[in-house]
Amino acid sequence: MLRREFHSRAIFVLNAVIGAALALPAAAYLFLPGKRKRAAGGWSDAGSVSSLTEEPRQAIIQRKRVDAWKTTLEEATAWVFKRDGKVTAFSPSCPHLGCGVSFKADQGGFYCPCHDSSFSIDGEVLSGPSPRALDQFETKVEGDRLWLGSVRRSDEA
Amino acid sequence: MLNGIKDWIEARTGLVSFVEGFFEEEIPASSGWHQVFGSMALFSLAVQFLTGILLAFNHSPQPGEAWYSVRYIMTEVSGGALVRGLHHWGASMMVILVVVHMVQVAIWGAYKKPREATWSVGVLLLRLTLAFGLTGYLLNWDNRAYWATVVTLQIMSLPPVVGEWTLQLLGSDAGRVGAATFQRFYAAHVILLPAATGALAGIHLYLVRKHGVAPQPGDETKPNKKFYPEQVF
Repeated sequence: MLRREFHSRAIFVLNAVIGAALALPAAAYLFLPGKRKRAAGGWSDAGSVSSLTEEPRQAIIQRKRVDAWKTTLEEATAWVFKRDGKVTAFSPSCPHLGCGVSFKADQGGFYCPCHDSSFSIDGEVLSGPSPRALDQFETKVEGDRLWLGSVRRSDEA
Repeated sequence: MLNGIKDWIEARTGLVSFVEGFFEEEIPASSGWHQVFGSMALFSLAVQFLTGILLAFNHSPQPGEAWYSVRYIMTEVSGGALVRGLHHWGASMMVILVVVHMVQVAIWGAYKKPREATWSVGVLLLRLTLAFGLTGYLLNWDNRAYWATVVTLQIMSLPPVVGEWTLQLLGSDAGRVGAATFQRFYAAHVILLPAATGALAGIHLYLVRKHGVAPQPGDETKPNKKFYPEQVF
């Protein structure tokens, strides 16, 4: 190998090393997930259990939201009802593309107006493009208070 | 295969012959290590631009949030501490390189005719580099940044008449640092100064190319050498 050719290749390698030293941290910065997973919002008071009926109603809850460097208290909603002594709390987000679902009393189930998915009172998909049943909040009852935790995907339950 | 890629690029853009033109440029016989500082300053500027853009993706330019967003970059974003470290230390390195470059140009007399404009633009670039440092220092919004900026503003307010106008321009009320000052420093740091520096660096490079590297007395009797390989190695 000629001296000039060796030097030429050495410069090429050196440039590649410098480029990689800049590109790798930049790629990690942009594409890798954060180093610390923060706990989701904890438990939120969703009201009195004794006031729940068989017909779902929208409970307004307050929960902590951790958004990058900001931690805020935000209002969220859940469809809550009680049947056969069992409390259920559905997430109001359609599993299809995240639109808000509403309860249709005349149809006895839930309905997403964006893409016409409909769900039974148990959250099962009756029609439409939704890929799975409605997601549910974790629930716990303390005294007469209903507490809602994180939302669990229905296909992971 | 590499030659194939080279030919493909050359046929469509002329980039290969353009770059080869740089490498084959003739430079004075006395050129050597002392002439690398300008290139190093330019490389440092490119690193500052790259890391600055990355930091802007996660920095919140508001007094109440800036510090938290910097802490987020440092502790939670992958590679965040490294990117910020490169930007922080790169800023100091850039000031050093620009000053060393100017000292070299002054000692070698490269500011003389016909390179006065190149020198003048270089002086402006030094000022812009210092302005980058001043405006960037506040953007952490920590105690040191805050009080250092308060002191700077107090000094700026000292000259009669002009001092008051300067404070007004920087959004400061009687030398205090608040939301308006922070926002103006941020706007200067990420919009005004990069645009001005990019433009002036382009002019500076054009002038350097136009007049060539300054020769030393006695060079005229020696044959020129090629940038590649003599200067590169």
